[in-house]
Amino acid sequence: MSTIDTETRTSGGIAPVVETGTATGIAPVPETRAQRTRGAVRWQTRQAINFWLKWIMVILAYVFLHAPLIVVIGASFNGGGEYAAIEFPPVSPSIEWYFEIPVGQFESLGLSFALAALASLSAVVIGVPAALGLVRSNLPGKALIGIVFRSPLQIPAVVSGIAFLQMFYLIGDTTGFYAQGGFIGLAIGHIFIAIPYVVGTVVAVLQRFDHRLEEAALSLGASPWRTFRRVTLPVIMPGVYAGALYAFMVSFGDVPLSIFLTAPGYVTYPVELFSALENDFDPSILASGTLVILFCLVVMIVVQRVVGLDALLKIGGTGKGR
Amino acid sequence: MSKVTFRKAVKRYGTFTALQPLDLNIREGEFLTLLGPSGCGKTTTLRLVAGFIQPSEGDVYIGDENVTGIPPQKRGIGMVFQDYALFPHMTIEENIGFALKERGDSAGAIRTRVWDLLELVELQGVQERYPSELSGGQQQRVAVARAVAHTPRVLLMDEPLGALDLKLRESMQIELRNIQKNLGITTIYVTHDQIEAMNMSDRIAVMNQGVMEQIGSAEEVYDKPTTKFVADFIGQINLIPVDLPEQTNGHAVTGYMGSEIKVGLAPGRILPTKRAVLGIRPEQLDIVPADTMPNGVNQLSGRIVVARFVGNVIKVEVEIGPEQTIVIDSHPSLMPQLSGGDEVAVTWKPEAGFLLED
Repeated sequence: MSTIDTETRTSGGIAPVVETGTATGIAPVPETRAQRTRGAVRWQTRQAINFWLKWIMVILAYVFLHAPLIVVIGASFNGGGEYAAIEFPPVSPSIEWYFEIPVGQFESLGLSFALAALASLSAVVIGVPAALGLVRSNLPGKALIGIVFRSPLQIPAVVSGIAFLQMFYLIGDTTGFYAQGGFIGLAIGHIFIAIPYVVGTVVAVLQRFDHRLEEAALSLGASPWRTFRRVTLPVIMPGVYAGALYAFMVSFGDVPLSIFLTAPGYVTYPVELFSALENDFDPSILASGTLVILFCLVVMIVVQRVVGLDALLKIGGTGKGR
Repeated sequence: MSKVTFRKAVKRYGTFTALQPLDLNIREGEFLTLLGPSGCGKTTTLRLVAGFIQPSEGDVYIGDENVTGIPPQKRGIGMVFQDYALFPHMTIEENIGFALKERGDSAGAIRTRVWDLLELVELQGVQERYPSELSGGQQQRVAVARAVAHTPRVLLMDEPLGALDLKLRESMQIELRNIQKNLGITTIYVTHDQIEAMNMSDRIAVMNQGVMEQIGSAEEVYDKPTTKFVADFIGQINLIPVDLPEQTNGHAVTGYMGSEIKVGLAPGRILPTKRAVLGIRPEQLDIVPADTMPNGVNQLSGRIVVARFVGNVIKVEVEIGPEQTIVIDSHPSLMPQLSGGDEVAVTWKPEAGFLLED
């Protein structure tokens, strides 16, 4: 880097080269004007490349993430024959497939939402106290308990599914109550896979929690319970929201575990789609998929407006904190 | 406003004793500083008053009430933490009004009180903001306002200025002291900074390794330290190993390398009995030509090692014996006469030195 480069940089970013040359032209620099201009050009080029490279990377990342969604949405508007393949861009656009969505899929969707809501709520109710115990207590087997709470993440969901099925049969054989193939069986399985996400995020927040906030509240006359309600809980709340959101998404999208626990009348939406695709391809799947994508988009926008997604993603950041 | 009393309070963690048996009386309205290096037990002492920890033995009193075993929320204290520990999800008004709301004050009463407090700490107009929107110094003031909002019986401060830069720290020292005087609130202040302690305190309690070594005003701990640690920790000092002293009428006599040294004896002063060191502050020493006759003062001869100009004084290092140098604060105008290798004599008045157990 020659001196002139530094000068150019300080004198104002991406200003045209020639202008920079004239502006500093009076200064007695031992380089010729041409040399200076070349130096500035090199620097400017590099800046421009950096700028465009950055944008290209961002665009590529977005394309990579969203291309499948766009294909699904686009193809859902195909018109024409009953056994049309996925066509993108859509040929003879129409919304006819939106009227062909089987009623069963809406029922499944309802079941999946109910399950996901119940699973994330239960995961919060079980996971937040668990996380508090894991971080705050000095139980002897703390590490072991932590592993137990995390284990659903490590066991493949297929294995969990089989295990639940076996367990429900065993319990059913002795008590006469068979949980599989019903809402209760599905709910137990979904709560099981949802808990680690809440425990994980809340543990992360609690580990970064400044315990002096609680001491301050105590010193100001708040009881331990009031301290928890007024200080601890609000500060860890972003972590709870984030965990609940993850839990919801994991439950909502689950196939491998649910597939073992479903029965006619209790088929979750992803399992319904899965089996529909397995038998033969029906373009109405694209249409119902599009509806779900749009619904998720709306939910995200609402969450962003109400809570602020940044707060959720920045879990543990004390929000308005230090 | 209450006094605070420790009666034989001890704090142990397993085999480690964080606080040796402590008897301490903190007067009503007093500003007492616990001063010492990290790990000396000063924070332990403070937390015993707060109730975050309980003594292993002994008792702690606030006023006439024995608070041992009583949880912090029932002690009527206010506390300022090092990084302020302001509640990040609450506005300044909610932060300051926290204790009042817990107490059950009406919203109107809280608002009025918060306004008064913001005026007290000179921070009007920030009540709607969040702590992260304030500077360090402003957060500090909010922390103080929050801690005194419910007029606690004792105000506890744990290195509250530690996170501020030097300039701000100095002005905050004065300001904190003024607020404390205005409120007349008994205050226990923890710091490792001796200048801060001397600037602010009515009395300073110097602690080391879980023991309270000395308690007294800034002048007392500086001029009449009772232990070698206190002498060494507060300010700069020369410590010279000397012979065991003998007491003669009104003063003590000791010796260093054959030279007799007289030491003035304050009443009640106990002479060292095992190994003695003589402590003298650099500013109490004078440098005179080597051939000067002693004239009612103590005198040791030596050789100048180096003389360093540091602004208001010259720090002169003089070697007075094998591997024994002492530092003398000399007037800058004497600089030309002082150069390395010169033979000189060092003199001081008998009452300027003090004898300590090594």
